[in-house]
Amino acid sequence: MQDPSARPAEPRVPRRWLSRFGFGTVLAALLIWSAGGTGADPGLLVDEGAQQRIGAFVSGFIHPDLSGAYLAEVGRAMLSTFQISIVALMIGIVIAIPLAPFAASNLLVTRMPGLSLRRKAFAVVPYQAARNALNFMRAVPELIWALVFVTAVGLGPFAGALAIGVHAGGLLGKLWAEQMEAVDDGPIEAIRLLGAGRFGTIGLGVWPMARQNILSLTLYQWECNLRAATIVGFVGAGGIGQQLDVSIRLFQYSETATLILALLLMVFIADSVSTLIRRAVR
Amino acid sequence: MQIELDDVTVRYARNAPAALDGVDIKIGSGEQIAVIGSSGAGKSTLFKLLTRSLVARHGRVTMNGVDTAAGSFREMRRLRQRIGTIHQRGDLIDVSSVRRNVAMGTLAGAGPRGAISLAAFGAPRDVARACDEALDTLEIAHLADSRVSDLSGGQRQRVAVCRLLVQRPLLILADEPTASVDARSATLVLESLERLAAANGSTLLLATHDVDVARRADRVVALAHGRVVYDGTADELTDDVVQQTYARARQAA
Repeated sequence: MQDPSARPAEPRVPRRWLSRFGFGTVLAALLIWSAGGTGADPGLLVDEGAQQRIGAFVSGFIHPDLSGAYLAEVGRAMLSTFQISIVALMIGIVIAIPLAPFAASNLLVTRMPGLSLRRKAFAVVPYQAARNALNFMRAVPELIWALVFVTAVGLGPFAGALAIGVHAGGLLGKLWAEQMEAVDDGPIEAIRLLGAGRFGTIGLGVWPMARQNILSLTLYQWECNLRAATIVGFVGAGGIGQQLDVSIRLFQYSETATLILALLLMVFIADSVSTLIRRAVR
Repeated sequence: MQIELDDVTVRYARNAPAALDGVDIKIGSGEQIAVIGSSGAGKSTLFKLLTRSLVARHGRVTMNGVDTAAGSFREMRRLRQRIGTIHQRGDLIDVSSVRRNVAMGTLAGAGPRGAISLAAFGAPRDVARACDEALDTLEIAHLADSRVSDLSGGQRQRVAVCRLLVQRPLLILADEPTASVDARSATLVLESLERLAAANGSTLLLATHDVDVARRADRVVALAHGRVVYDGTADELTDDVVQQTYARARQAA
């Protein structure tokens, strides 16, 4: 007879090891499939031709072009990039201000239980419209918006500012709405009960509680705009990106190095200014 | 404000137990009523029903003759503006000043534009004066420019009462306003609410766990598991009745 106090025999292969093995197999298969699809080949990095090309690239970087004339040109491109990023931020803010309040679910009446379907539908239409508009604006990459606006208004920084601004508007609107949704419900409900409309509730309740975070996100978006201003230059939308495109195409890697240093400097300046503004507003 | 609840049942979800179950209550204008019951008895649900934060699917709620389920948004907004609330947690804007929080009580008559004006430009002189008078009544005039986040729990509740003094509502819903506050603040809060209700003819509903606080009211309604288990005068509210009310709630649980 079996001893009732004896422990049951362990299965040969414990269940958790089977699930880990299965998970590992699936992961390996996924990696192999992805590598095959992208033509990944580490050997390409170490063959002789690649080594020579990398060498040429790096040697250009070690000797950036710091001549007076070129630095002046880079300085003008930097100013243009800053201007694009600031105008784009203003465009983004102008888009976000009217849409974010309608995209915040805590400013809707639909969360009441027992509300009729007709009333819910009436309240939810502007909410869905605002969210969908913001999703569309941020789903389309800045580069595509740049192509659209270059076609519409011609080559140059204005097209870049419009492209980045529309994309930024979609992002800011969504992020601001999320910050509005995150505030404490109790005080908001009390203000609404007193008869403040949507914008009054935002002015008296939501904005004071969310403004620090909204400001941080907006300043961060400015830094993102700077980086985006570099990219859109590749399709003729002005700024330092245009210079980068030209220097790479002409294999002028010392100029590319100078431009990248300029980009680093701009990001450092933007970060410092953002920090100062956040401290001043606290 | 006259209120009638006629066989009202509220559930938060389709198969959930009733938060209010066949409740019938008639409240006359100017009555001061204490609502007692253990946690989950339905006190807060009753208050949410009256502020139209939720709508009963079964039964009827009328306020000054208006059916709250059938009224238009505009009608209900006008009614809600005449309702003043004070909760245990205060419902104040922490990052704003005491005076601004009190001034929000004037929003009731100012409408959405008034709210935007208050947010952008602050309170006009006459409103600021009324706020300071209210703060003086509650002995916190010296805190007018302080941030609410810097105040103690008792001081916060006094600020919430000041907002009601400025608003002068027809219906005051006080949801455990003296829980977790010091004795002096509790006394000031209760006396101010009673004086405000008496002066304006406001109906006062005060939810509380404290039976001594409940006995200050004209009438007591006891809830247990969403049902009215006692509705009578404070004089008839003996300790036995209270114990039976809470015992019934424990048994039902």
